[in-house]
Amino acid sequence: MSVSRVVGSAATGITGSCDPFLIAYGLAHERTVRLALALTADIGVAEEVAQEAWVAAYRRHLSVRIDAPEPYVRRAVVNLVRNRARRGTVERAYLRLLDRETSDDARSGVAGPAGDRLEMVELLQRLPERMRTVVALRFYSDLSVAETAAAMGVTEGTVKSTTSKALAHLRDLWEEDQDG
Amino acid sequence: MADRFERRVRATLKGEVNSVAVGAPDASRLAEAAHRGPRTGRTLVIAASLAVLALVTIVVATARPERSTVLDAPARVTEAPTQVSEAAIQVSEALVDVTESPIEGTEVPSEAVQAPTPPPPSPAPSPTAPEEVEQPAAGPEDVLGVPLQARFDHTVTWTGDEVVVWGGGRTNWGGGPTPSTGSAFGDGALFDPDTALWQPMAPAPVTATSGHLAVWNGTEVLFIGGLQDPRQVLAYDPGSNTWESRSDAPFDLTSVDSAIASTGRSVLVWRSAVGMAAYDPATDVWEEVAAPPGTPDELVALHVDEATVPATVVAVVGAEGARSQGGHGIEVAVREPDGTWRRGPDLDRLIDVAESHAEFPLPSLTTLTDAGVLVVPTQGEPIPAALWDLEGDWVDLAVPPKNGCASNPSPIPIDGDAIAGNFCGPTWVRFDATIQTFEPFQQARPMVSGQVVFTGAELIAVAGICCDGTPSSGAVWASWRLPIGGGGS
Repeated sequence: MSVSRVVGSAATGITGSCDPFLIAYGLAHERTVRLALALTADIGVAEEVAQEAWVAAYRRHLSVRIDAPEPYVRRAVVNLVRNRARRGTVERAYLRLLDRETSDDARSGVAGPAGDRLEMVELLQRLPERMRTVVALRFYSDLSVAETAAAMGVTEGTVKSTTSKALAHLRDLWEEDQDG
Repeated sequence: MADRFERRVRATLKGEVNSVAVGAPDASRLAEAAHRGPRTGRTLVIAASLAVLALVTIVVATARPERSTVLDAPARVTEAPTQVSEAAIQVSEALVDVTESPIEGTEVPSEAVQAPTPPPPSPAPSPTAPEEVEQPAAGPEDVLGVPLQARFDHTVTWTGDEVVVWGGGRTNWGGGPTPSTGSAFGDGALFDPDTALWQPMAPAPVTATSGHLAVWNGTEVLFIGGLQDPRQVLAYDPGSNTWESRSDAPFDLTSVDSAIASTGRSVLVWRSAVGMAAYDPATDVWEEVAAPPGTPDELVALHVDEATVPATVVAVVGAEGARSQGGHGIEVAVREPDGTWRRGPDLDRLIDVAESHAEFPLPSLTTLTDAGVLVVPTQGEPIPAALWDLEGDWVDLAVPPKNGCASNPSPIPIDGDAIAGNFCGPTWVRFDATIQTFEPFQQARPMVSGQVVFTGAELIAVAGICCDGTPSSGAVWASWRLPIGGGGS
């Protein structure tokens, strides 16, 4: 999808709007969906999370103007994914009480346009939450260490050490996968 | 090797993620969702989840009826609001009662004789013109025509349609965590925020009660315990304006040392050193259940998020100061779906609670947000807030903005966020759970601890105390309402 088309979509949604927030929405929406996809491996969940994050930011924008919302939305996406995982844990425990093991593993079965498996994205889901987030922000979103720290609400030192551990862990998983 | 693998990760990740088709942004949906109100999207997701779970529940319960006893899904989530013209008629009739014949034995504040002024109607959401949306009001406005005397140790409960104010004492707490055992009120009233009108409640089957607990369970307000009869249970139905006496609680309960929460189908009451019990309003049966673990203490709180399935219930025990300095710190536990408790990590944080505010202990500094359990330090202390996401360790947050006033912030949950106010100053802070930061919220009136409810659209404080001085300075009437828009002012 081209940038001009995206901007056009946003502009038609808000007739005649020159609101920088809405322009940013048009430009950055796809990026935030894809970040959420890297974090969840589920395009449906990713679109929901991104929309929820943009709605939260827009609601805030209506009272406290936010002209550059992407950092806010990025952090919101990271937090929303983490919160969903927490709620998912509770819900899965509830379902286990009903002797119904969760069969709808949201993190499997994602496929590309030609039906290819998204191997790296799936491997990413096997990392602990913080490592997964660091890898997605640093290597998919191309954020700097400082930007990643801001998005995660941690120190830059934590980002650096977590990145190192995450890459080591991911390499082990990758090699296992290749061998298997 | 690491660099090479790093490049592979970067390239492969980008290639895979970018190969998936993504829907176009739709700004009209964005505006529409933002105007539908907070958490709408999440509520829809939860509602859909509930529907699926309900179906599963029915199937499983039918096949294995013995397992159905563990189900405790919140019933109120599936109930639609029922505020209709009938209610408006009821309130209009009540207006005549209120203005012509105040409740016997009460002193009606002078403003009660004024005709209440309904708030101006909000403009319909305009998804195509968000710039024209009305901004939140600059500050709270008075709630007029309150047909009750100012009081202490009463309860203020939000039912989804109206604010229910009932009971309370005529005198102050006296500077300590002991409500007055002096004369109390047995009257109450309903406030409808839509019409800004009051309706007196029918006389309760008891003479007076203060220091009690109250909770809305989806169909009725339950008033439990209190200083005068600490085991009494009364159910009030606001739809029919009728009362019912119910089976006594299994142990004494007062607002000083006990907590209450509705999880949907049942109501939990907890007195830390004594135990926990679940009450089923449908069967009028009490059952003692597993109490949260931890050090028994008089000072407890229960926080519930009914938007999760099942409802998330968090128990908090604590008292003044860090354990390492002779205090208690904060202990937390989460109720598992099977009714057992999972204890969380202790927060050994020094949070001074000034002696003059000793009746507002550590549990009242906590609330449950979408990001987890939030602890907001007293605003006079330059110490960070803390957050526990119900899974890992406590995380330090920033020091909240403060106004130099060492009083209790009493955070109130607001659609997954929290607002913390203050007795002696007008500055509130809002905790944004989405990005987990604090920001100054509103130059408003001093918060009235424990007597503020959130309706989903505004904060409403009724019959408060101590807005301009210390508790011992006497009752100062404080009833106001503050529309909550998208955030701070």
